Amino acid sequence: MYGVSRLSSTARAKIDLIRIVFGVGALIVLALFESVKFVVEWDHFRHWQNVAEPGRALRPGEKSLANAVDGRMSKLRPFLPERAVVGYLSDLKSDAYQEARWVITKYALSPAIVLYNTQPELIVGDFEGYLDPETVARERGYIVVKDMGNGAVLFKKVDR
Amino acid sequence: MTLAWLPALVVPPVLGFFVVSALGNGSRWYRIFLGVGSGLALTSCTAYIDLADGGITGSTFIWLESAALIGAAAWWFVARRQERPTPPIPPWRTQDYILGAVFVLVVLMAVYVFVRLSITYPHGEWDAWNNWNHRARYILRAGEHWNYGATHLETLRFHPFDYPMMLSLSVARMWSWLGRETVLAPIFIAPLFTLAAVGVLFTALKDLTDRSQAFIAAGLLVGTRYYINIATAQYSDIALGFMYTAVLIQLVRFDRAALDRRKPAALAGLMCGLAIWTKNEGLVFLVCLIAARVLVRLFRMEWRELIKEAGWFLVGLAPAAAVTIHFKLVFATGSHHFQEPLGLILTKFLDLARHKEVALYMLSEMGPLWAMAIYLVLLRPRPGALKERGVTTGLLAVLGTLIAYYLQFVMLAPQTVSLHWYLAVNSNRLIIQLWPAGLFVFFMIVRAPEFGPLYRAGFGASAPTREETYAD
Repeated sequence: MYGVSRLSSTARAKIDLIRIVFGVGALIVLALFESVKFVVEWDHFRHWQNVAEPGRALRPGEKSLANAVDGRMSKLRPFLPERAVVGYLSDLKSDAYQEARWVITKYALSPAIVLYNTQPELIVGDFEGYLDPETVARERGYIVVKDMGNGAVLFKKVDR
Repeated sequence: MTLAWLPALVVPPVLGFFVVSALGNGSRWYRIFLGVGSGLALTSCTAYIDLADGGITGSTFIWLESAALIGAAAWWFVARRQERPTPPIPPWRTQDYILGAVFVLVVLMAVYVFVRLSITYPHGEWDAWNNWNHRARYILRAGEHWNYGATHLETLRFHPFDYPMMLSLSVARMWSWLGRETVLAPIFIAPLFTLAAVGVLFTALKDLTDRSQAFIAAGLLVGTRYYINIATAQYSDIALGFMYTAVLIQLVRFDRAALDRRKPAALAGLMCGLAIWTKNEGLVFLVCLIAARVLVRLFRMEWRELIKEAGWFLVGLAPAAAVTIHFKLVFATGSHHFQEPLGLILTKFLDLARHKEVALYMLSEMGPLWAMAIYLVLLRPRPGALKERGVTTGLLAVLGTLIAYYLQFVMLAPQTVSLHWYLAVNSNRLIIQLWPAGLFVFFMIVRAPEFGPLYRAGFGASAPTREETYAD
């Protein structure tokens, strides 16, 4: 009788051990799998920032969209008046990227208020090279106040 | 400039440690990790006092911080006489070394990704530019006119000026100490909150359950890709998750405290107040927590205890809640969540297809649940776990907040945007807020793994009884 009881207890212990090994193993496998996947695909959640807009690469030396736009547009900040309210104009083809770049532009130029339209007298231009800022200014009745030469342009409306 | 890093980085964790130690119990490491996160949030409160007085001047908030630091140090010095000796640390077992090694491996991989993402994307992600760091720039650059942006709501599309200021002020405070704007400040703050969240989860589970259990939980948190991604995105969801977790830990500590239970209740209140000061969702959590606690206490007819603990909880809640209420009353604009007519909100609530879409989407975001379900089935719940009031409160609070988030998606997602898009940009962030708190509750419920006796029994040595095997 003693032997049967001992065997049963041992068998139960083995089953318990296997049970725990599988339980802990499932979580270890999950954590390791997720981590390794993240090391391999480390910019999985950010890769949308690796282009200027779909189909157009960032310029050489630019690491990400936020870096690029913040770096370019913040150069206009010294030319804006205190507590300025400015408009935003872009030649981008993608609406989604245009909105994202407007958000980065207002971040770059804060505390200026950057509206998502061209109603104010001063307008910041965010050009990717599809259009020439001088031509845009002529067509729209603006003058170029400052062209930083990197796609960041400050326009001013003139009375016709 | 170089020396300015020292107070900018050191004051928050030291202040937090003094406050938490004066109020708290728990191991020294638990208090250190809790101090890191709570200190950052507390210094943002002192910065807010300066801000509300006419913009961050660079001198007033330094005086306020110094006074807070000296006051907290004195408080701690007096309170530490009442500190009880910490229980002896259990020896390390082979399984602890193995699980510890896995944890270290996962942490190293997370650190690698963290560094790489922070170097390549130093400005973080969308909400960092559109809200948190954007407002930090506003605060510093506009000086006394810092709230000027609130008068032009269009410029803060998606993020009106009613969002609490904890993260923005933490960044602005650091820039003010340094005397210049640098992306290093938000990059430093992000891992500090992540470290605090992982640290409190690990140390609390180690103290309250078992070291191996703590390694598994912390490893699972660090090994969650989206959690680390959100941290490097410089969003406030990680800070909020840290505070939720700290509140639930404090409630368990409150229930297990043998002598002075006022302090753990007050510390739970303080962390809940800081959650409200971090994000509007903190208020949802507070409501769910109160409802859960009242339910648990009333189920056992414990009226008196409820009133007693509520008093000390409110004492702790008061400072950060006062700061938040002041901000909401004086500076905040209306919330964009309640701009639709009530009739439309009700119509959305009655739309079953909407419920189905939200439920399926949220479930699809909870990937690791399958592994946790396996773990629960195989390891089984700890006997008596759900009889612990703190654990039950935590479970109900987490589930309640999750349901509230679900209802928010169903009822408050604006009609002007597609529900799928709204879920895609919001649901994973909201779920990740509850992830560390959910892990804490889960591992408080599940039995800790114990290989040793089973291994010896299964492979030759004398078999222990079931009671011996699972004796706590």
